[in-house]
Amino acid sequence: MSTAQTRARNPEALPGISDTYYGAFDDDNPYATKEMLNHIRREKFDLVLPRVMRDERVDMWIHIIRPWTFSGNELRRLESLDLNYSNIDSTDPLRYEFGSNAAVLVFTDRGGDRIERVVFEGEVDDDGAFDIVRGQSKFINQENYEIMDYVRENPNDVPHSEMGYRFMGLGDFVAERDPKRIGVNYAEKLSLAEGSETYTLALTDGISYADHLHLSRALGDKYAKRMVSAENMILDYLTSSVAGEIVLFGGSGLPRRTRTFQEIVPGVTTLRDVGGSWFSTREWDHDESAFEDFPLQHGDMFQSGMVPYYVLREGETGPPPEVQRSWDEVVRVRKLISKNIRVGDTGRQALARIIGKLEEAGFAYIDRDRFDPSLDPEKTQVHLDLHQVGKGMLAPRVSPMGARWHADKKIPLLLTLGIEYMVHMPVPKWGAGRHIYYCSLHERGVVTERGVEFAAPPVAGIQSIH
Amino acid sequence: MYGVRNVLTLLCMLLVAQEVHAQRQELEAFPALMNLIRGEKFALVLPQAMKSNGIDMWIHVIRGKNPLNYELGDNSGVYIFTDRGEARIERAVLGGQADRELYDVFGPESDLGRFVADRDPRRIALNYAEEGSGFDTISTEDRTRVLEALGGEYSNRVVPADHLIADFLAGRVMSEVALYGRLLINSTNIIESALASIVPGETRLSDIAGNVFVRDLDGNEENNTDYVVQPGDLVGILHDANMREFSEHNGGIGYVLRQGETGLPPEIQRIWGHALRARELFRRNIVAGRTGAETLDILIEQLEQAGYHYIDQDQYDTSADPEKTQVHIDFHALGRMVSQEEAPRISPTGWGRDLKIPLYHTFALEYMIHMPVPEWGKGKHLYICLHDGAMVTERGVELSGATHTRDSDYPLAGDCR
Repeated sequence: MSTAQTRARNPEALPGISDTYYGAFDDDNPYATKEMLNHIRREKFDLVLPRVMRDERVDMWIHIIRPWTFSGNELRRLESLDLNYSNIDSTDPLRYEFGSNAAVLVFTDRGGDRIERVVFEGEVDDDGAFDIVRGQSKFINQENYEIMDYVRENPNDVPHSEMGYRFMGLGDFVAERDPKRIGVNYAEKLSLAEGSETYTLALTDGISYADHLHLSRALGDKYAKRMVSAENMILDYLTSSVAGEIVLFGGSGLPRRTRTFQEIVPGVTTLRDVGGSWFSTREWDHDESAFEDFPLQHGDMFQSGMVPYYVLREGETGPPPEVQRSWDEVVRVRKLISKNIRVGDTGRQALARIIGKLEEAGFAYIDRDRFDPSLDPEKTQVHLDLHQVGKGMLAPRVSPMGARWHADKKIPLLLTLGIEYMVHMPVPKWGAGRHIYYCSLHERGVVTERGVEFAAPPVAGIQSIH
Repeated sequence: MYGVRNVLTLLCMLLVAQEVHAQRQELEAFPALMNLIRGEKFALVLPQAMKSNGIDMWIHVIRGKNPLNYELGDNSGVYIFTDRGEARIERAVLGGQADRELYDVFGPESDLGRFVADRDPRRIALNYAEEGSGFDTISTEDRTRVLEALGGEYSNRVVPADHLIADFLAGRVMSEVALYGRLLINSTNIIESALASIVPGETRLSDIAGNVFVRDLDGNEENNTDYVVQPGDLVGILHDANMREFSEHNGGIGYVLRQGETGLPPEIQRIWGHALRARELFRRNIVAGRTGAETLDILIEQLEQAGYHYIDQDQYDTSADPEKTQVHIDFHALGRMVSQEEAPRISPTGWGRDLKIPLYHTFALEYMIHMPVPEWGKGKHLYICLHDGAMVTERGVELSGATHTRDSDYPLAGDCR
């Protein structure tokens, strides 16, 4: 079934952003419906929003999704599916959480359990999730006659720039609530754009300098001085899952069927021909494109996604002992990781603990995904790059890679964690430096008070190709 | 034609939901998922269940069909779990075959006495019960043989395993949570389709799949009978969704518009408002670690502080203050077919009410609202039953899936034909 057919059967609930690992939630997932996503949004408003605002001592959060960050490309590609989601194609990190691609949203902690939720300007997918939805300013589109009339009739009440129409009246709205500390979506240190999966779709760092100026004018000096960056709050909100998100995380990508690869003719068929990912037994270095045009041979092991396949030699009924042993090593590493990540750890702390445990268990840790020929040839080498999946953001991250703040970020409860690790097991009898490689990509881990649990089954073993 | 614009809008949504549902397949019990749940329950739930029950050895004899076949195994044998002070509970099978990925020790049944003595447990749970329980599964013959094998010293340390089994079954791992949510969504879709298919004046309750009921203003109930649905009825539906041993059932409510009605009448909106208020109250006052009975006391107090009258039976109390809306509660477990009742339960009935609510407890937020409408006459009242799949987390109660009764702006389904 082609990707287009699959999407037509189970339209992505978050179309246009699946490449940023949102696929962890909606990849071929019939449960990722608009209703379910609305439900998650409301649960997060109820359960997560009050905590993240109070943790950051913010009593008002103004989040501006700029209309001009919306390209429309994905919307046009998918319009035949009639999905009618207004958050399609935005690059704002919270486009799904708030269900919009263009809005000025204001959340106010007015005491009590519930945060007031207001769409000050703009449109959202799910009006019922908000207390007030004022709708889109009729002046957002400058190509109309109404704005000409307005300017003529109100010459003294025209914003400094057309960008300011979104904020008309916001000063009074804010003053009425008199917040002490206002979180606004601009970045100071975290470089959220850099922290996203930049090679698929970079997210924005928040509002522009011009927006900051217009917002400051709209708020007036008194409240503009109370603005602080909402970057930590945004990250915390994104990475704190509710139960509904675990449901989607566990259901996405199911059913995962292993392939039989009966079409492979050893000596003729290449990895590219069958859509395999990379070889596990041939590469010196981990290069996904190496050898993909070489014919597959008996005795080769390769991966298709996360699943490893072994092409049996004549007379073999299963993988030979060294290949089987490499899988045993993978399972040992997986178990060791899952027991050594704790809620409240920073990524760095978790990394240090896992490295210690790996070394205690006789593995060699490598900080790059490359076999190190200078290390003890008896030791299996392990590289780690565990990170948050599903929200387009790599933090928190248990890895030597990435920005420092990825590893500084604490692991929240129910984090959806991609358990990504690479195992290089040397096979000295094959020759110096020869080894078997396995890369787990993103096994679906959830961090609980008990450690890491799996929302969906990790790969069970090596599949033999007869 | 009873149709009105807002209901038509809702119906359109329901029709879309139906179409999507038609594309869905029933949940398949993938072996990898089944193995994952088994393995994680052993690794994550069993140690806690044994510790909290003060048990350091659990002996479970299986001869054929048993409520724990899924968790432990299908084969006959003596399954023994021992807390030897490590993070992992030792898992042994004597006299039987089992999954070698899950179990550590195998041996003949004749080794039982020596096996136990070697481990010198202080408190041994055996699969029998002293009160009525579905977990009282060991035969008299097997019990006698086990006690003989243990000898006097260890047989004196044997206690019933029913509470331990209930806790083990009630504990949820994340793969179960995810599965539970998918089942909830399935049953919600079935219910929404059923509500959309009702034709007032034609459809009988018995035509509708599930547990379908209507109560009149005096509280008399029609339940899956040939009663024909009428305008003005509040139709309740409970419907299950299953996958192998996993099961849940959700609820939905439909209001059938009367001719000329353009929206929900004020009294229906009022009862729905009570349902939402009560739900928020429940969600904020249920935490892991308390027993069901303790939790019930707290909820009753909260309800009464909020101006409601708690009733311990699902019947309108004619002696109560006619100004007060009455609420009944039965928050029973959901998820595993064999442990919906013999599990932690926030309810006036069942021994499960003495069990502690575990973290990630999956349960039905099942409660009934009886709202008096004095202007209709003495004792006249409206009735709705809510039944939403929920889960206890560190934050309180979360709704795992989008439920039929999820939205305050879509309070109750209607019908336009």
